[in-house]
Amino acid sequence: MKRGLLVLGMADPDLAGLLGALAARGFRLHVASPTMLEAAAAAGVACENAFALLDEAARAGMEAARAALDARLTAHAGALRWRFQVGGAALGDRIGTRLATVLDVAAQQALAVTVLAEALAARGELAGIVLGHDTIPVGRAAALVARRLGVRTVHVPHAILPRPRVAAPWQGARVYADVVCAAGEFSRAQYVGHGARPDAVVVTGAPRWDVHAGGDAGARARCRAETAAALGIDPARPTVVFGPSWIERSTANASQHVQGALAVFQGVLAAVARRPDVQLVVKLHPGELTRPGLDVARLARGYLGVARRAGVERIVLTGGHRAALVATADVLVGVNSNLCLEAMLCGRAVVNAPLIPEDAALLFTPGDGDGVRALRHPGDVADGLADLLADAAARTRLAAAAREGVRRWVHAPDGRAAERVAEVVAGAVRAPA
Amino acid sequence: MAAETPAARAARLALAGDLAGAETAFRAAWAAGDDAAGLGLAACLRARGATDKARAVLETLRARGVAGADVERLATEVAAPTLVVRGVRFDWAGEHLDVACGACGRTFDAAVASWMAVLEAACPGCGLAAAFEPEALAAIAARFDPALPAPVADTLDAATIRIVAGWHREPAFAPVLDVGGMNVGALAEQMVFPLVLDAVVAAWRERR
Repeated sequence: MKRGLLVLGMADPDLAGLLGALAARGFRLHVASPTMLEAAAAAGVACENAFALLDEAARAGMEAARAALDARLTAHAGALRWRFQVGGAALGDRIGTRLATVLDVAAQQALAVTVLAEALAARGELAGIVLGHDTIPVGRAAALVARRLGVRTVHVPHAILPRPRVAAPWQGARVYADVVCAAGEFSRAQYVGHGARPDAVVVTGAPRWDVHAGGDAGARARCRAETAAALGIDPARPTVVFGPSWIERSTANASQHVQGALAVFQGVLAAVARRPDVQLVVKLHPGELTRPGLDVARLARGYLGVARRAGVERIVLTGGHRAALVATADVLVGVNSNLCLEAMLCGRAVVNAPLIPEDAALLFTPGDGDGVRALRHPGDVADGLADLLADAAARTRLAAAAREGVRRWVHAPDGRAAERVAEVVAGAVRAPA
Repeated sequence: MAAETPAARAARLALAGDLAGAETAFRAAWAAGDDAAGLGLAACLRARGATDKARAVLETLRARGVAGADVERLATEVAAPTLVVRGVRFDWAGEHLDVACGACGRTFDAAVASWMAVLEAACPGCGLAAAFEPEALAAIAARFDPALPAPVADTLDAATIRIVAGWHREPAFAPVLDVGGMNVGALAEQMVFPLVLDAVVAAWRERR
């Protein structure tokens, strides 16, 4: 029987290559993501739908466990409320019943991964678990269940996380899986610097960016023409791609991030407005598009309304075409995001803006030294981008420096990261748990 | 080239969508005796829901004899009931505005799916509706959750991390939080963090 891997928490179709590399090593893949199942099918990689393991009895058991948790939380609500205090101030009233809601969601994830892993183990088919995230409940539960079942977990991080100002365990400061595949030395230094065992952090590169290896000028021109046709823009005009992110309350200063995000977008618009020949593509982040309750039409109205009031009419919004846009943009503007690294990998001119000045050095060193124009303040975007748009030599210089500069973040961008990750997985499942 | 007047600067900021900056500039021009800036100030105040203050500015304008169609139109708009934002709250799944209906007095919660999306809110009591553009939402965030100095924000973040990583370790809670042999409080740390942070920041502001 083939050795089985449970694959959890991955949703980027560009990871189909990783699934292919794992399948090529003889693993039978049980994938818990409809998006990844579609991507694997399109790439000709055979995968099983892990959710097929959840039968009626399993679902009933999960529901009973959830109900029991809810009953216990209700019975102990008062005591739980008193547990949250800071400096003598009670926090429980403000937190209220939202704690129980969050714990319920976490319990659903934990119960589901438990059932999936135990079902595969009962068939003698669980060799290990591959995780796209190991800090959210499903990932942390998977790590615990795997240890109980005597198998190992490998984390393939979706993103290269910036250095946090205050290190939180769930923001790249701690490894919950047995092994993490770091995209490059930047990530490895963070993990090890926060106490991870050096042998638990293996530098592999980023498998979802393998698609960018080997692209030549001809392929890029074809890609640019196809993408322009799909988006209804002119492939001959200079194209600025702006990659905003979504705002979540990850720090106490997140309200400043709200204003910073608007200021950065308005800065991009101000620079584009000065250049009637330039067209702007806003590449929306999947995290913004999947926010609970989001109405895409209202989101588009929001972005387009701000653009209209800034006098910019030549603008397109898209949630897709990520790889093509980063590979063909004349200038890409990002906000401490992986989109910047991906564009650098493709040798594009990149402007990075922090949402608040204090975040200016979280990912890059301010200046041009890293192969990216790293700004110090969200208010610097208009002039920083306008200068670059007006200076072809500077764009060429920056783009040339980008491919070399990005290697600190992305190890050996040779298109073989998926193979290296598959090797790590194969080694991990052979090792005793 | 002539230097930009305060009122012209305010108008430019308003046109660029920077209502908070425009309000500051209009206020400065108004305080310097530029009556024409009063209309812009009133418009900015109304845009962020400060209708009482907008009304006061318009009354002053009328008292000074600065009347006109624009003043009267804005006065009519300000007099009309509107939805007033009274606070911002956040949790693991997003942010919420605490909204009061100026027509029927009912209070309700409006979820902000994205700060860049147009938020269309409607009173569940009487149906009074309003739309908030991203610039207005950013101004609301600035007003109800104003910027913290970085050292303060870092201190609050660190305090919150300690609480989130520690609350579920109390041995008495182990059987309460047990799910399949796992402590669900530990598993959920990343999701619990925004809830606790919201409360920690609110407590800090109340003490101030």
